[in-house]
Amino acid sequence: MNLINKKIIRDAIYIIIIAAFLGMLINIFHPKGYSIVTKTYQKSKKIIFINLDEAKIKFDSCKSLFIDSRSDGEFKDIHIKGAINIPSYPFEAAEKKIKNNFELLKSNVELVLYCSGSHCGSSFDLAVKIIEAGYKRNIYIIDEGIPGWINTGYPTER
Amino acid sequence: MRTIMKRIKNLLINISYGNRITTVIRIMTGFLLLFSGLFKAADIETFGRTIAQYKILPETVLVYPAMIIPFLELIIGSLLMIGYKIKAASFVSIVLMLMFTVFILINVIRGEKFNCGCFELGRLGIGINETIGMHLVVRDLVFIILYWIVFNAKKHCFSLENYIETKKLKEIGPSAN
Repeated sequence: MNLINKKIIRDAIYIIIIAAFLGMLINIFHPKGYSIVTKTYQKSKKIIFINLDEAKIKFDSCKSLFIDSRSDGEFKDIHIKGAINIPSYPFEAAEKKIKNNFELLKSNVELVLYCSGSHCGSSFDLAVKIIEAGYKRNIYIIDEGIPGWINTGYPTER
Repeated sequence: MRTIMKRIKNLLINISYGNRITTVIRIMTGFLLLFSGLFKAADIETFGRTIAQYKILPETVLVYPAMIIPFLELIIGSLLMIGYKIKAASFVSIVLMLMFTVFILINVIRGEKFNCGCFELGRLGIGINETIGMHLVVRDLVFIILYWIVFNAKKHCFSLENYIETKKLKEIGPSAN
């Protein structure tokens, strides 16, 4: 006797699909539900934007490593005093440079990244790459970027 | 003695075919699923933490059973109670129960002690010990047998399926004459 036939299996699958759909839908509005976030979003929770004053405090503490994520040419033109250059693009070159300098990056210093301004995005991309490489602590990004730093008259070098 | 044995045999045959006892089993097990599903659905996060205690699924996928199982229990519990798609609902119940039993058994072997979060009977004021142990494995096996009885039955009194079938037969009746 065939106890489990195709109809039962089909109905069981429908029940599971409806339950999955209902569960995920209600979860969105549920006060005690789960929030499904992308991995990039999870990583971005470790990336903190700071203003120029906060960046200056970190600069003066001498416990921070400043990283310029702009191109090699822009870095040579002007950069924050003591900063190192890891251009975000191309990604392959950035990944290689992060790998080569990873011992320095994960040493007992805070990482402060910057690029050409608050919307340049390259420092955020670089921060994501550093986290992907295995960096566990928070990474700071100067919101106003290098133009803000220069305008305030904070130390730079060429 | 022979008469008693014969009566017991007849009773079991009747339950297996589907009588009022089968109906009581179906409604009661359905209610239990509906009840536990309701409490799990009310607090998905806590249920997720309960599943995490079993240490069987990786943390990254825990969110999915935590979201789906409460609503699965709600649906199959409701279906069993009203008596619609009984075979499919009881089949899913058996699979679900088998899964829970294996999970509990693994943790019994590991020597773990925590609340299984099974039926949330404590919320009904029923003081049943739901700490992981062999008694829960036995209890779940009893439930599997009960769901199997419902699954195996051919007739379901006081069910929507029965009502629809009777209605269909009544409609066919006059035209057949």
